[in-house]
Amino acid sequence: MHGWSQAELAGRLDVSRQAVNAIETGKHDPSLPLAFKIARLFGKPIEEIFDDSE
Amino acid sequence: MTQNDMMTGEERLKRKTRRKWAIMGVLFVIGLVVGFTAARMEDIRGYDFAGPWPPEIALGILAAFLVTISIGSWLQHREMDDYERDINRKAAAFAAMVILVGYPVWFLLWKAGMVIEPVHWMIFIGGYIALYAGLLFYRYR
Repeated sequence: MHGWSQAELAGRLDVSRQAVNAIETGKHDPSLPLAFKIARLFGKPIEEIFDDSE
Repeated sequence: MTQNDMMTGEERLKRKTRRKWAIMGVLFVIGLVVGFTAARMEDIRGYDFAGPWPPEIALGILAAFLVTISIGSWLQHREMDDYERDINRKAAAFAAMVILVGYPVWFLLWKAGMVIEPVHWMIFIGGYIALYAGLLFYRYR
């Protein structure tokens, strides 16, 4: 979305690079506070970033 | 504006990673000293695991262990993100299950005369092995 690397995004979210990778690959569902943080960082509503369909 | 605000995400991540490794390094060194002291005590006594140690040595190691575990867990927990917390929780639950199920199974097999009597330090080490196996599994599956 912003051309950020996983490490750049992880640093901005204050999480590990593995956490960003696990969220991107669908292995980990972020907590609600982290999901809000991600949405705020990208300036988009949560439902535009996360898809709850299986 | 703080120094943290002026850093790029990658710089912040590097700093966070360095902090985590520093904590782990200090804990590792303390663990090494405690482990070495315990091993030395057994070495002096010819590996008679049932024999007592001088109380001041045993209590000194116990204090170092409890202080390190308490402060170390708190520091590690502060640095963890919710993904790491999640895999740690799952791995800890797996290790607890291994101990809770493993001990009665071993005990009953011993009662049936099929194996040696349960050995407490083997159960402890088994718990640690299960914990690390769980961490590796949940991280790399």
